[in-house]
Amino acid sequence: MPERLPGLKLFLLAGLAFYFLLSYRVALATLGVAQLPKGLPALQGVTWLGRWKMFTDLRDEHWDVEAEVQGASGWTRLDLAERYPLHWDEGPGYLRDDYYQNPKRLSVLAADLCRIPGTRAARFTEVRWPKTRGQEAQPRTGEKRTELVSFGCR
Amino acid sequence: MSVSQPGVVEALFRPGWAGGWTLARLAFAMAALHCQLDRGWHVRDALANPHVVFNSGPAHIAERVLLAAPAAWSLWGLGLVGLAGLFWGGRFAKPGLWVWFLAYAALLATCGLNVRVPERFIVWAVLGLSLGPIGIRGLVAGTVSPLGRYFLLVVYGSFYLSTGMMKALEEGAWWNGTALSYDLMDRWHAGGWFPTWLSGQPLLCAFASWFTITFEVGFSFLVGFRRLSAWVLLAGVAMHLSIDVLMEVGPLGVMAMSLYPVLLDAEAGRRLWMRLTPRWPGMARRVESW
Repeated sequence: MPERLPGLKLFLLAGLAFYFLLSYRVALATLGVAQLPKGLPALQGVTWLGRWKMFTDLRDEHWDVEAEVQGASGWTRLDLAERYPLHWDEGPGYLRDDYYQNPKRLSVLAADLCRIPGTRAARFTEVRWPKTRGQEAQPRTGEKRTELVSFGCR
Repeated sequence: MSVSQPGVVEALFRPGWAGGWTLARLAFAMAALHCQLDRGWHVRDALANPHVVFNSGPAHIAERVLLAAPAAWSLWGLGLVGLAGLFWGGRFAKPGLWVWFLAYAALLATCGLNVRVPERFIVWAVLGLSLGPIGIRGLVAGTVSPLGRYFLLVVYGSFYLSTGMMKALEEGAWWNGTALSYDLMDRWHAGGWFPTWLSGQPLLCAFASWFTITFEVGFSFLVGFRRLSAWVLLAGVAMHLSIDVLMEVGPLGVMAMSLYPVLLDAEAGRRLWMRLTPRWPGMARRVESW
């Protein structure tokens, strides 16, 4: 049986290809290597389903997030991995950069830490150290520490 | 009496061998089952855990909806029921596919940060399968409109071309294998003696990088050629299997490979099927009835 409305279907397929082209363009803009198209905020939402960025950047560092709480005796470091074991393909949830680099999201984590009796404040630090290729041991030499944000407990 | 020749558009939509859809349906169901069972380990600690709220992603659903463990397990079980329908085929195939997809999406929505490329890919795969004739039995002996195949070719073409171009044009460290060698040392994606050893072999990493970029960029331009179609897809299988052996990247690889039978040039697929089936007549008869 001949295809019905083949011209229309071809047009729709071309539209799909254009959508992916636009998504690629937005992905490049998000990477900072292309001019932002006009109306980027809206386009980011619309093209989210068509953007495929995987293993693009050079990731030559390990990273971790450390949390400390301030009590009567000063600052104490907490083991976040033990306290929040939620873990999926990409490691602990709180280690995803779009989570821990967002102070609003980190404030939710801080609010939870503030429930620890006697806690006056909580702060978070990002720690980065170079990957060592070809060996299991990954010495934490040359650490770079960046304080992310601190929160006072009410 | 003259017979009018079909135009270019009509010729493009000439029906082709449909057997690839049956193979893709079964392969996708198995890939989805693998994915579903894998998620099963995490239902309690990742999907119904009070700490899910700390992992909310762009959708913010996890900040408002937190599944209790029975609800999370029910959704997970519903997904299995859907997959049973997809396996069974016939009129249960498409409803089963969508039941699995919606149950899976509902689980992931409450864990927003895990909506990543693999999950986005699943959306397109489900749409592509829905455009195909997966609810019809006995497809191996029939022909079908190529619309669903074209849809998936556009999706896969974009998927591979976009990732390949970004590596090739935006990150110089991909050209000499450096980026890949560091990815093999990722604390969460990789690990184990083999990726660790490989990360210290610059020549092998450079070769693997070149292979990846060549496949990803070349896919869109080469998969449409009948003679090359199978070879291009074989290269894709090699790439995805290598990634799955070396890294833990979730369900993307098996999901992507499961639809390859549809991407194969229809005539090349039919010929391959005719060549292979005499070797496994029992299995071939079974697939033909599915």
